[in-house]
Amino acid sequence: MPLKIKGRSKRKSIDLPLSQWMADKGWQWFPHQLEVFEAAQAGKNVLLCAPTGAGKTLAGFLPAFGALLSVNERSGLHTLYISPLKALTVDVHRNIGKPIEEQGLPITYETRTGDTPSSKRARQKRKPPDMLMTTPESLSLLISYDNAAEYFKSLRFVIVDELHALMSSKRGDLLSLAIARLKALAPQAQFIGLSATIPDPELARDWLCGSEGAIIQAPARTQPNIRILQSAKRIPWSGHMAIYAMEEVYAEIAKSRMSIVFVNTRAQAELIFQQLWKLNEKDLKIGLHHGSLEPELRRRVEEHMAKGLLDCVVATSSLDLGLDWAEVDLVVQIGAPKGVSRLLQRIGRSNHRLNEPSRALLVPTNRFECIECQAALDAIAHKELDGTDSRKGGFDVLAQHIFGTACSGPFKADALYDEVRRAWPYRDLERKQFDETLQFVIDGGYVLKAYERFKRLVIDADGSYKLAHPRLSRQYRMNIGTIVEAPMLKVKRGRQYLGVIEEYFINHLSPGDTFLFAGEVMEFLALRDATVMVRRTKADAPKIPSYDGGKLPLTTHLSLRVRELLEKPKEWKNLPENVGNWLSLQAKRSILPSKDRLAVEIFPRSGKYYTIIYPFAGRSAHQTLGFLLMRRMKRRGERPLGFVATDYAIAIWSLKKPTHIEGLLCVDLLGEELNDWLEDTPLLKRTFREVAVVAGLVERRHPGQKKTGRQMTFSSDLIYDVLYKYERGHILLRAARQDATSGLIDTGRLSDMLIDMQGKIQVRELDSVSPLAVPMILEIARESVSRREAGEYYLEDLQQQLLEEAGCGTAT
Amino acid sequence: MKIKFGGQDIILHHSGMAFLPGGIAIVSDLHLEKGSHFAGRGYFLPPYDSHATLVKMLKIFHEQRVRQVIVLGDCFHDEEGFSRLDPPARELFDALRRFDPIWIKGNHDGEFVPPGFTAFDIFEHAGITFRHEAAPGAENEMSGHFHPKAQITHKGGQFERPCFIEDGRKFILPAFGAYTGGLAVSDPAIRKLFQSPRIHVLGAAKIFSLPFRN
Repeated sequence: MPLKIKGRSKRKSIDLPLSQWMADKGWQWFPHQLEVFEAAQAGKNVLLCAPTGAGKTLAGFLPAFGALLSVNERSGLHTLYISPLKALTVDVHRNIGKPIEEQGLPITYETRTGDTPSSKRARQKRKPPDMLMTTPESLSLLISYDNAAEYFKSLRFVIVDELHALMSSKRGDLLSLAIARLKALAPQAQFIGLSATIPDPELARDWLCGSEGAIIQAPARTQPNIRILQSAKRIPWSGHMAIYAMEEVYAEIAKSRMSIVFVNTRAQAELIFQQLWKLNEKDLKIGLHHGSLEPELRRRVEEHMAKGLLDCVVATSSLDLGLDWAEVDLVVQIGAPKGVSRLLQRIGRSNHRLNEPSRALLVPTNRFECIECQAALDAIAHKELDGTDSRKGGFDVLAQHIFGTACSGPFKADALYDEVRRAWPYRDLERKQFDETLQFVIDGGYVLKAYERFKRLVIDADGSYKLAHPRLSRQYRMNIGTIVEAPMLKVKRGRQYLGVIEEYFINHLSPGDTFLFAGEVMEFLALRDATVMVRRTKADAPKIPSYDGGKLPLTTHLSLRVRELLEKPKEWKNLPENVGNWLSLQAKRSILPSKDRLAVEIFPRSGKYYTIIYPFAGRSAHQTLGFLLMRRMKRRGERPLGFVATDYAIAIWSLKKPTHIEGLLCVDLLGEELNDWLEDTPLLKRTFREVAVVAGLVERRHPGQKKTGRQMTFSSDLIYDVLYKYERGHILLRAARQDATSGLIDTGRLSDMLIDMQGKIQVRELDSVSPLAVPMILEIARESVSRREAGEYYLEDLQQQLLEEAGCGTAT
Repeated sequence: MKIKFGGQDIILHHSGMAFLPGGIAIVSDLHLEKGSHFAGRGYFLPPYDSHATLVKMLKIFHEQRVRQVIVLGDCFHDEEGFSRLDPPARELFDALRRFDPIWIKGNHDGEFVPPGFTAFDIFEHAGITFRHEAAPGAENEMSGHFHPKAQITHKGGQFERPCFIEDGRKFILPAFGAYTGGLAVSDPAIRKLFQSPRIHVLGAAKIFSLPFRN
């Protein structure tokens, strides 16, 4: 029962739950934990910003403990905890369970995620626990049940964890709508947001609970101890695998008690895991953790980590968020961090205590990344963080929510519109947009032709919308969520499931081919019933699955830092010697990009002209710029052939030498050409694919799901083509455009960049490739104009090659 | 592009249609009203697929001076498809009758035959057998059903395109419908029908013939 204790700060005594337990452990409350409790006691909503290891989760639960332990009678769900990761709900369940079990408190607590067995779900629906730990998707499911009003009636606290990670995404849109629903179902509920330290906490607070909520900031951690690997080896020009550094990384791991090696992509994870095992003469216990592995395998690694049974884990962002591993004393980041906040979050995994410095080692995989790592260190030293992007709520997510609302019971359009606008991302939603989205849910919302007889929602006598048939709620539940992945297949060795893999990767394998998966070399045997059958093999030189995920764009803030570093040769001494020399050579041979100079280089190479532009604005913006420049150069008759975009620069090659670069990079690129171009771009089709699934236009495919009959799935590209031809203004096309211009294409950043660069463009014509351009020439992920044209180009080229092989010369 | 098959000169068109001498067009797997079929299951695909497919088909008939058409089955996505055609699409569909159509029954539209059409399970003409789904062992046979597509990897580029596949004995057409996806030619269901097949990939304005690679 609550005890009177004194907090560490000089404040009045307050009744705090769990104080006996804390005292038994020899622990003391942090001031910010007490502040959260007090603010909540005063009836306020709260946002707590704290670094990892600051007892954030416990702080979030304190008010709920206080309330639960002070009443005798209670019924129904009392506290809801929402986190972005299933693994985190399990972890929090374990941690919150400790005081409950050890003190024998009369509180029931359970998790509910996609992994929860249906029998347990059914029981939770009848008899909810006091505290429920769940994910945004499971919350959406819960509010779509017909008993939702009853279920949430007595809800007192809603805790949203890792708010900063959820906010600016489609999952955030979905969660914001669910929260708006909860506010309507349980007006008495208080909201507690938990977030990493962010530069703009007001935004997060407004997002969660409006401007009335209290913001509580925990003190910053001790400055972390971060080094960049000073490799004795030569750092490669390009590439992303850091093979050159593996021996040195292994030595660092061997010196540490427990370490996490963070990588940016799953492909890196597989490869580096394998490389480390090759060097593992000390028999260290090294584990692997990434999102494609079977959940059971992942859970086992997490458990072994928690028990201290592992020496090292190679992980992707699947381990990024809040899981509590106290024993980790070194974090290794392979590859550039891409953003300061992400880096700090990852580094926070080591020495997970507030008053000890974290220890981290950055391992750049190529020369540009060396510069980026140094820039990130400078930013951390100056305590700078990346800002949070705010986004407009997507129409596709809204459509999903409207459908879900109908599943829970009849609704009135006016009331739902008002409720939806209380969700922060939808606060400016126009009625017309709402009505069009609603119409899409009802019958597809096509102007030229209606699916009158197939309506999903019908209007009641009193003007309420309701489901046309109860079976439709099954359709909603099968398609819930906003995460759309490439089609996946299950991977099975004998009877054991190992995880899932992208279907397109397998499509290009033949039986007998080998690839890396789950940390081992596997031989592809056969595709059986939509399952990839493999066996272990000793073969060398396996293929690496080329996963789509994990390509993070460089943040604006960090890119500015990179350019600052480039213009200060004095600070290059912190860079590895061969990287410093590389930059010096560049300054001598050509020019260096800087904050006030957009460097452009043009040089001939093997019969083509290469134009290299160095804006340092991130891959998405560069990719868009690349497409636009190709288009403009084509029109100017300069015959561009292709381009490659990285986070740092764009390289375009053309048959003719481009002239008048200032005109090429003029601001009107965006106005005049972007719109024409956007309609015909593979990127728009890519976002449409996601929109079509989220909005419920096509059925979601589940990993390994057997295709019914012959090919019942559709290419969303074909649907796009037809919709674009007949109804260009359809709400889903608008949703795709909105996504494209804010995400993949990043027009906001591109336009900032174009405006900023006017008058700063400096062109240097060279006889041959410059030092800085070498990595660009080596980069292999190239884009041509559009997928259709690219395909055509490849076909021509392939046929030509075959004809030459057959000795037929140049006939076509 | 022209190939020899069953002793005939056959022209392959980049739309996925094939032509026999005498102005005979062969087209397969239109899957008309696939959009409304899914609308009935709660997925509101744009309802314009039949219109788009028929407009495209009639335009090619006109350009190529087609006199007769052989539809190799699965003209509709289901047996009720015909009754769901809206008036403009119905008008276009009725225009097909001017082309003396040979209607071959498919597995999707089953026993349904539109008024005014003559239906066949198997049709023979000029020494070639036309049916919906290839029969193992049959020769000089043209069919559809499988929606063959080629998966092509070249110089780091990966993409898929519908294609014709043939080996001089058997010939399978790609699907013509606006919403029709495809099955990889390397899939055993297709692969086992052929000895050493060639594929003819649909480009934007022409056909690309490639050797078959697993």
